Amino acid sequence: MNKHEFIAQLSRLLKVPAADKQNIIEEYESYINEAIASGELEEDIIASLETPQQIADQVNQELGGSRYSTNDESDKQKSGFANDFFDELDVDLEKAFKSSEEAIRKAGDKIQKSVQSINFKGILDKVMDGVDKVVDTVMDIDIKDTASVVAMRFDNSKVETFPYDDTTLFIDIDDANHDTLVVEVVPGQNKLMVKYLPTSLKLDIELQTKEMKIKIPHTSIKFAEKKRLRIYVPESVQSLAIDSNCSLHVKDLRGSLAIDVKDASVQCKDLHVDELTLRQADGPVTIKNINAKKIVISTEDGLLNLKEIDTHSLEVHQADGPFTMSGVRADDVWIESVDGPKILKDSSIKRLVLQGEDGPISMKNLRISVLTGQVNQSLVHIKDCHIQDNQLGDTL
Amino acid sequence: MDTQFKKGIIEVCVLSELDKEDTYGYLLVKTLSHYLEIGESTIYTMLRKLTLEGILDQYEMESADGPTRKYYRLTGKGKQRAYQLKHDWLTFNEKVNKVLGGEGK
Repeated sequence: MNKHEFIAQLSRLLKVPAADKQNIIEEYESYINEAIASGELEEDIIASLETPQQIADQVNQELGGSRYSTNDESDKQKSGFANDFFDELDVDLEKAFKSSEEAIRKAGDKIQKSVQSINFKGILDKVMDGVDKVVDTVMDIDIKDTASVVAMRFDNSKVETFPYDDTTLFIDIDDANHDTLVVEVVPGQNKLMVKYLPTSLKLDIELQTKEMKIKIPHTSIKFAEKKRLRIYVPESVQSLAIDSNCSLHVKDLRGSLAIDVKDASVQCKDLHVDELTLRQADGPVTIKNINAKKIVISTEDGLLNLKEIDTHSLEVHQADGPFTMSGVRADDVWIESVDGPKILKDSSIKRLVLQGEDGPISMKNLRISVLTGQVNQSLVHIKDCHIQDNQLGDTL
Repeated sequence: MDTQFKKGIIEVCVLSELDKEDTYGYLLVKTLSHYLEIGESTIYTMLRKLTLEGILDQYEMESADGPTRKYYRLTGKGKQRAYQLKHDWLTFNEKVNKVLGGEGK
């Protein structure tokens, strides 16, 4: 079992509140990284630890039991998540209740005035429409959304499922509101599944051959909670492409992955893929804990942060914005960064090509066999680097 | 060994180590497991619980030779607890030793 598999298995087995789970996972990731840094082999480290099941038993017993209110295991989990969730959303829900009450009162006033000032004849349909809208609003905010939000925290909840056994899939996400929707893409089982909240969010999901289009039409409704969409990619999919204009979080996927995001943030974490291609127009990008044969990243602007990456080939094209890279182990790394500061540290690279127009470069604790390229600037800070063949010698 | 008894000992040891200096999870696990037969999950769970109880808090610090580390330190409440538990343990230990050595009779 490697580190990625160990962490993924542990993550699945932990049944504790999200913050506790994150803490424990981070501790184990940190433990393994520290042990690797001190020269131990990954497989030896994993073998020396307790098994994910043993760890989960201990953690679930200590951090799960007393913070859940029922005896049934699944209910414990649900109520724990629900409690956490309501703690987070308490203020927003309260605000939503107040605004819905206000809406009802205003609608009631309008209906009453209409009835009094015009006449009752022919107005009944309009009155009933108004009442329906009020009821819909109340249901959306007060009941449906609350239930769906809680359901989102349950592993077994289902919203939209589609049978899917193809090996390739293209997902196109287009939110006309360009605001707070966060899209998570995670591995699923034998079906393509979409969960979202709030349920009153209007989604048009269209599944065609090898393609799923998700459109969120423009809405003036201000939802009390953050809009979320989670897509479970079926096991059969080996090649996945995603086009999105919303923030995208991609986790735990396999196969090959191509991402194209416009004006929103991207987080890729714990991927074990053949190839990762990422194009992004703007917004921060975080790529962490990735194992891939080839990685190509092109960004226009915004922070680009690469961390803990194992790859044969890494290409980075960045027009502007700060760039940080640490914990990279690669054969070939090619970095073209036109502007913005660059920090490269704690990495081991056989061949590093640097192409930079401007912006300071800080290099710390790097092991490089060949360093080459063209750097047209003088602000270079190097510390604790071992470079066998420095072909940028004059510049640096 | 009784589970609750063992937990108590581990808590004293964790707090005692942190009373000496702030430290991070990996180092604490290595240090304690050198002396005690103990799974790392027990220590990590203990650290989490003590943090939730306000006995410990955390801060991050970049290391010179590795990744960013999450350090644990005793809070004011934690220092009091560490002192109290250490005192209780040493007193208890002394009494038990007397009993076992026949001095308590």
